[in-house]
Amino acid sequence: MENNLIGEFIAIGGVVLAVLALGLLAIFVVSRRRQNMLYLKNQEQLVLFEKTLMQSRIEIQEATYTTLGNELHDNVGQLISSAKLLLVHAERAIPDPPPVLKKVQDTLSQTLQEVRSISKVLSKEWLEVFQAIPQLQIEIDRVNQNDELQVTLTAEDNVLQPIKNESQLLLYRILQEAMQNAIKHANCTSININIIAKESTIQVTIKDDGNGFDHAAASNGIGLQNIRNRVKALKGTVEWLPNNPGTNVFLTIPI
Amino acid sequence: MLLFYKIIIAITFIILIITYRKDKNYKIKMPILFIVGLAFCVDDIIIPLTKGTQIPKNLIYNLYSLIDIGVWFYVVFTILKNQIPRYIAVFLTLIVYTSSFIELFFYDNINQFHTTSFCLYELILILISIYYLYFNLKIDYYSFSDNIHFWIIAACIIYHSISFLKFTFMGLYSSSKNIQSAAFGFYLLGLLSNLLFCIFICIAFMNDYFNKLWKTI
Repeated sequence: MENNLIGEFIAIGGVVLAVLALGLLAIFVVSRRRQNMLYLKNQEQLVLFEKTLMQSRIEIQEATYTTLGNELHDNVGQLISSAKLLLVHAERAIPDPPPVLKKVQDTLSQTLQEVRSISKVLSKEWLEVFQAIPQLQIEIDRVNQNDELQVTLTAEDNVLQPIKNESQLLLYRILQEAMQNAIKHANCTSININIIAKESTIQVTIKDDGNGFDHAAASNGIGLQNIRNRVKALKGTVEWLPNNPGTNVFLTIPI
Repeated sequence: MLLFYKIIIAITFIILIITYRKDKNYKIKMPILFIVGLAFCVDDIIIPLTKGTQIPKNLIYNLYSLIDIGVWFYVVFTILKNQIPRYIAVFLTLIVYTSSFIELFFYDNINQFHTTSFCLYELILILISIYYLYFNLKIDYYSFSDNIHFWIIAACIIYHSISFLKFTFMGLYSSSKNIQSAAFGFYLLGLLSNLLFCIFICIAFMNDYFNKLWKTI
C-alpha cells in the first residue's frame, strides 16, 4: 500500500511540475504577446507620425516654391520688364545709342524669360497638370546650355503614365535635387538619367562621372534628406552607389 | 512498457528528418536532429542488440548522456545572444563534465548511471532556459514566427524539469527497496517528459508551417 503511494506521489509530482513549467511558458507567451502588440501599436503610430511629418514638410516646401514662383513672376519679372521699358526710353532719347544698349536689352529679355520659366517650374498649380518627362527634358535643356556639362535623358514618353501627377511631381523634384547635387558637388562633366518601367516598378538611374561622395558622411545634408523623404512618400527605395568615377543614384518606385 | 517511449522517439525522429531544412536555424536544428537520432539509435537499435551481452545498459546510457550534455550546452550557447551568459554556459559545461567524470570514475563506477551530476546538468539547463525567457521578456519585440528558440527552450524546460524530479527521486530511492514500487511513477514521468519534449521539438522544426498562426501571437 505504502509502496503504491510512493509511485503515485512521484507521478503526481511530475504532473504538477509539468503543469508549472507549462504555466511558466504560458505566462511568457501571454506577456510577450501583450508587449509585442504594444510595440507594434507604437511602431504604427511612429510610422503614421513620420508620414504626416513628411507630408507636411513636402507641402510646406511646395507652398514655399509656389510663393517664390509667384514672387519671381509678379515682382522680379515686373521689375525686369520695367527696366527693359526704361532702357527702350533711354535708347530713344539718345541720338546715337551705343550697341551695348541693344546687348543689355537682349540680356534683360533673356533674364525675363529665365525668371518666367523658373517661376513656372516652381508653381505647384502649373506642375499639377504637368508631365514629368517633357518637363525634365526642358530642365535638362536649360542645364545643357552650359557647355561644360552634358545631361542626357533616356526614357520613353509614356513611361510615367501609370503614376499620378502628384507622384510625377515628387519624382521630378527628386531628379531636380539629384541633378543639382551632381552639378554643385560632384564636379562632373556628364549626367545620364535613365527611366524604365520594370516589374510593376519605375526604376530610375542617375549616373554622373564626378568625384563621387561619401554617402554616409553626407547623409544628414538637407538635399539628401529631401530626396529620402520624397522617396518615402512615393513608397520607394533609393540607393547611392559608387560609379567609379562618380556616383550612381538608383531609385525604385512602385507603380 | 517501453514501447510507447520508443514509438514517440521514432515518430519524432522521422518528423524531424522530413521537416529539416537548411535554413538560418540549421546550427540549432542540426545538433537536435543528431541527438534525437542518437536517442532513437540507442533505444531502438543499440540496447536491443546488446541485450544478453556483457555490455551493461547503464554504460551505454552514460555515454549517451555525456554526448547529450555536450549537445544541449552547444544548443543553449548558440541560442544565447550575450557574451557573458555564453561564457557562463561554457564554464558550467566544464563543471558538469568534471562532476560527471568524478562521479563515474571516482565516486561510483562507470556501470552505474551518474544521477547526481546529471541532476546538476538538468538544473543548470533549466536555469539557463529561465534566464533566456527572462531576458527576452525585456526586449522590445520578440517574434515567435521568426525564430524557433522559444520552442527549443520550452522543450528544454519541460523535459528537464520533469526529468530532474525523476532523477532526484531515483537518487533518493536507489538504495531503498521501494525503488521497484516507484518504477511505474518513474516510467510515467519519463513518458510525459519525452512526449512533451518531442511535441515542442517537432513544433520548432515545423515552425515555418505555423508561420501564419505565430503572426497572430
